[in-house]
Amino acid sequence: MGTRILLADDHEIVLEGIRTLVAKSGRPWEICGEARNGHEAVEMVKALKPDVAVLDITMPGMSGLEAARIISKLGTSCRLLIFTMHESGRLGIEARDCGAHGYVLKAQAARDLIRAVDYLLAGKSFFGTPPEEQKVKAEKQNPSGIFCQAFAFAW
Amino acid sequence: MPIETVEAGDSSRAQAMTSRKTTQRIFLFAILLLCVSGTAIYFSFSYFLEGEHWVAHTQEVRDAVGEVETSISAAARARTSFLMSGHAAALDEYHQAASRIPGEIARLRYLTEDNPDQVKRCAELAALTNARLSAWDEAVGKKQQGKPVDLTALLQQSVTQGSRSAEIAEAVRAEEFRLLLQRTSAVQRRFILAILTVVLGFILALLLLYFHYRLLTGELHARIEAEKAAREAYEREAALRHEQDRFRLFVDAVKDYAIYVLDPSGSVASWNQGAERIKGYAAAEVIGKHFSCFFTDEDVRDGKPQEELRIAEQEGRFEGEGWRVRKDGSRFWANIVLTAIKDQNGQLSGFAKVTRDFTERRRDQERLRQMNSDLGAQVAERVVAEEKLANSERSLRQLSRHLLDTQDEERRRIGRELHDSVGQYLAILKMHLDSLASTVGGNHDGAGGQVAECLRLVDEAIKDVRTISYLLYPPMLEELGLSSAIAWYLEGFSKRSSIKTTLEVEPEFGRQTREIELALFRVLQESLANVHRHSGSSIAIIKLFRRNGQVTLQVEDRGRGIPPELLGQADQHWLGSLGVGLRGMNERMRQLSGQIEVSSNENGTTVTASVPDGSALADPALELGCGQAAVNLS
Repeated sequence: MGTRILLADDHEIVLEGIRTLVAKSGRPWEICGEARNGHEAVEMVKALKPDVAVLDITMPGMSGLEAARIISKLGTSCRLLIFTMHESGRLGIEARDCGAHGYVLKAQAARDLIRAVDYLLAGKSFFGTPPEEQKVKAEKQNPSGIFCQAFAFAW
Repeated sequence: MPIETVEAGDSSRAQAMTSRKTTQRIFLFAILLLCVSGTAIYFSFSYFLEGEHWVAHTQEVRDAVGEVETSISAAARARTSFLMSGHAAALDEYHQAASRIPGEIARLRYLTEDNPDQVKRCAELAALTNARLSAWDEAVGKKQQGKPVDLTALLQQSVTQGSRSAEIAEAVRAEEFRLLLQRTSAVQRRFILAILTVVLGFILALLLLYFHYRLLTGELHARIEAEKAAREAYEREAALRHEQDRFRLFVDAVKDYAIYVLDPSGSVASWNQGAERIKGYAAAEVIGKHFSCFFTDEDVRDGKPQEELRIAEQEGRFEGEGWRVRKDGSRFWANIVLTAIKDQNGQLSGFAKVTRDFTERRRDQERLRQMNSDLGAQVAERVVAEEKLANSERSLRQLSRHLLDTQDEERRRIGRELHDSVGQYLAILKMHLDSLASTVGGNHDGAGGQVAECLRLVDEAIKDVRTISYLLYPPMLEELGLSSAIAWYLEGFSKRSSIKTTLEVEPEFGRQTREIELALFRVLQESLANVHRHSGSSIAIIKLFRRNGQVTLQVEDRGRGIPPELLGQADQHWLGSLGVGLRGMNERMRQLSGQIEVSSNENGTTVTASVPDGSALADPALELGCGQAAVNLS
């Protein structure tokens, strides 16, 4: 049985784009369902038991973050990927708080989406960047970040 | 009070009478006792003297007996001497002694004549002595005649008679002595009795006199007290009379009030100058007349005078106003007070009546009432005008609220539209361009370069759309709540303005209603815009917490502060002077029953916005008001 993916977004064009990306990637993945809001997403996860659910944040009714929070508490093995327009340092924090395993910005879909699903299927996380890159980034940035903060404080 | 005093006086007088009688009796008894004591003293002395007398008497008797015996023995000796010697001298001596004997015996008999035993003894002694003397005389006669005398027989006889005579004398003496003892003891008994009587009487008399003295002192004291009380009562009465006189003079002299007394039936009993002035009657004309003559005819027909008297009698007082008639027939508006006068037993003894002429006052009151009603009409007009003003202000406020709401809704719609629609298209466009770029490859000169340029432009477009939509409507406010949305917003704000922000959120802050979250978010936006535009501060501290049923947002900066002249302008309208932005914030807070405070000094400015906690906010009136406003305006 192949990998099954659930999509949740209220924009047909976005769903279409994802389908194209998946098709072009040549991965043997099956789009098992397409939800138009958070409620539908939760119900479809319960019914279809997908391997990965790709959730948009801004949807009518229940948001993707709220849906992720509910799904993560269902106790399924479904991996959750937040797929959003909102770009912010807060996004990673909010996504983690809701029990998601990663997020991809819509603007970076072509580059990151397939990669992120791969990471999630491999049991890893993907918060904007692959986990190894995050570590590298953190190691590189932290000393200068602390220095900057200290400087700002002294100033 | 006076009655009580009189009763008290009577009883005290009665008491004084009885005590005086007792005193007199005790005094008389004491005097009597003293007399008795005196008598007893007298008697005791007489007994004493009597005793003395009896002792002397006994001594006298014994002396008399001794003298008789001495004379008899002297005669016996002289007789014997003559009989033996025949001398004339002895004969003379014998005659002298013999002649003394009868007198002495007579004295003895006289002294003892009170006692029959002694009388008998003395008689026997006298008889014996006479017999002896006659025998002796016979023998002496014979001797004188020279006849022989039988001396032996004579001596024998003399011895026998002599011893008998001595026995009798001794018996007399013993009897006297016995009597003396008897009398002395009797006298002593009586003396002791008398002394006892004297002592007892004296002591009793002294006690009585002391008692008498006490009673007298008490009576004296009571009399002094009574006199004092009587004097005081007199003084009080005098003062009262003086007061009454003064009061009467005062009442008489009062001219502005008619003050007079009615008897229980309602007839005038007294009259003062004021009554004369107000009603026009002289005292002599009116006293004795029934007071219904002061009433109008219709009032008399309606029985008002009797009614007033009845009310005053039942309730103690009647007060009222009405038309009254003067002597000349003219009317005046009177204010009257009728008070029932009752004696100490509660019996009605009359009425006191005070009447004032209120005609002028009534006229003034009428004028005042007229002015009042004019004023009332003006006030009513003004109230209507004010109400209109308040209504227009209310609708203005509702309009401004509606404008704010509409503005919010519009911003939200445009922001969402931009983000959800244009943004999505741009994102997908970028996705396709990315695909295209990977197809075209790294050819920078031809199509590859154009695709790269397109990608750059799309990235810019996405960034702009995102920024504009975030500014129009806070991202994540609905999805994540106020605290997350603020954090989200601050990140962008810091990047754009390079003002360092610090957010302190109470843990477990939770969600509020959509209106509260949006309103507080707008306050934050407005405040941060002010910090950025005016304060010159490089940092901003944002605090969000719930306390005492209030949700509070605080935005603090370390800038130059708001100029005092701007902040100090016209207390409650200060927001007006601070521009439209703050006014909008204030209006938002008012809409949610919240408030906004701005404090500022040279060290920075703090804006504090508080609204009742979301769970507590359920004001249907407010929502209804908004709804109506929306209907009116749409």
